[in-house]
Amino acid sequence: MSIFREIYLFLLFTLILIFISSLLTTYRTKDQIYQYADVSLKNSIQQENFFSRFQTSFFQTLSGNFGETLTGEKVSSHIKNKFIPTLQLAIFSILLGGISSVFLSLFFIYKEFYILEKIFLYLSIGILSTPIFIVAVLLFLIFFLYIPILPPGGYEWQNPTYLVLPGLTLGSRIFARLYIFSIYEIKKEQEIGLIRFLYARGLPKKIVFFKYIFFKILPILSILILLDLSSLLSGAMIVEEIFFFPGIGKSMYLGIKSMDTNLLRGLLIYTGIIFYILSRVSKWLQVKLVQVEI
Amino acid sequence: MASSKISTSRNMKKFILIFVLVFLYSLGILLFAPPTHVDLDQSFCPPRDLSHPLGCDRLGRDHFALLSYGSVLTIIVALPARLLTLVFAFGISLIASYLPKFFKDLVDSFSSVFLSLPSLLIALIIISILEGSYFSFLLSITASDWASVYETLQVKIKEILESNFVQISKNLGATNYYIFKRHVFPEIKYLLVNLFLTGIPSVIMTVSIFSYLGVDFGTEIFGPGLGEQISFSKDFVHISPLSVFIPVIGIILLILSLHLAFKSNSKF
Repeated sequence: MSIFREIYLFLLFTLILIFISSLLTTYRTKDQIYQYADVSLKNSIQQENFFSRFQTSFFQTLSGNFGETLTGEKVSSHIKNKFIPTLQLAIFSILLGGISSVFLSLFFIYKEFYILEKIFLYLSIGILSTPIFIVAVLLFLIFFLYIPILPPGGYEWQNPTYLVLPGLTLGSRIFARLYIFSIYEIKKEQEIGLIRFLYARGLPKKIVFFKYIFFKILPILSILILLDLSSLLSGAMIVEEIFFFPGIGKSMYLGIKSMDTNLLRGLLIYTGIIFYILSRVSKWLQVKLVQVEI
Repeated sequence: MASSKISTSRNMKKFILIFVLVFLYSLGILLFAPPTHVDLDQSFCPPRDLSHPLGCDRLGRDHFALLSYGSVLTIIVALPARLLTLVFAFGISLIASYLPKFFKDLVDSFSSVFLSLPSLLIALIIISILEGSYFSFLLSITASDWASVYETLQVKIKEILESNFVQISKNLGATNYYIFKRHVFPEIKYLLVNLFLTGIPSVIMTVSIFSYLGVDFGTEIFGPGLGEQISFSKDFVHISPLSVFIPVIGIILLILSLHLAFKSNSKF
């Protein structure tokens, strides 16, 4: 696909994103005046119609300046402040879920631990069958009430213990998806002619596994990880809310609940663009590295 | 022969699990009134005889009734919502496939935007516009889910339309309607059935998440949804752990049983 078509698609996406986000914020905040009827904030509430909101959104997106939140903070600096914890959480979850799933799947098949392989397979199916808020609530309750060794919520800069519980919740889903996928792919790879040939030539199993099979499945795994990263950087609303984690997702939840027009608009544009760029990059990688649709 | 026996035994286990669940929930509905009333005298009552076999929550509502009605409520929403999502996404996919390139790009961009939006926001807005009706709830799930189904269908429709046999049909003068009737629909109908069956567990998750966040339907008739029960009771888990764990198990069993049932029946 040519670079011009990519730019054209991006501009089309952005225009529609601005249109939809203006529509959503208009409807979401139409009763805002009643929510703040008895507080001083009502003076800062502006009643705009859809067209003026679309116009405002358009110019705000171009300039990157989304105005101020209801509490007087600049939206762009608010997003910037929330981006660091979200990025930390995303990286932690991906490292936790990604590395452990690939390592365990390779290790179990390499060592022929079939029972453990099955146990983790069923565990992964169980994790994927459980809504993420249930995992979050259960971890929160267990570590808050019964095993108070980790902070049950909040965030402190340079204190990784605050990342453990939300990271475990988000990482568990990444683990489950990648584990099931890796087991399937490794078994499929073992059956192909090249691998059989390598075994027949007497190559050690360790080299076949960690040099040939691992590097063969790595590109697809990287694409899946990138897709996970795109949704994590857009903010994990429920998980961040349950663990009081001050990231993009919690801000989005706050923006929806408090009907904060500028905050909601800025976050919708930010998450949309992040999601779009990373999705396009993963599609591009898909074509370049694996040449298949996932 | 042996593998057929194993498969029959597995299917039997799945059937038994689903039968037991249906039987238990039917029993809960037959034996108990919908948990819509508060009885503070029964607050946190422990499990005892048939009057309260699993105990009561903070408001004195029976846990077994909450579980049964909550599960039925989830199913009542999830099945039609999934069907509506598929019909909507299929319609849009079909229209987009026959539109000129610019309009197809437009629809694709709309679907990408919907994929990036938080489903809670969409649900809140649709429910507020349509004033919390059953249809608005179905529509909010459809609006949150259609884009991913659209993307899957688009890939398949594109593959069919670019296939050699469709190209030959076109060269021989086949109309768009003929191609749809003879080539697209026969191929896509299995995918649609598969998407319907395998997508229900994910809709149940969406319904539970909405319910947890307070976006619920039919609470005045059926009582609270399973997600709302967890959200309501989680702060009192140290007094009544069952109030949290029963709806948690209820959701997991519902998803797992439907997942298993549809996995064994989906042969497409």
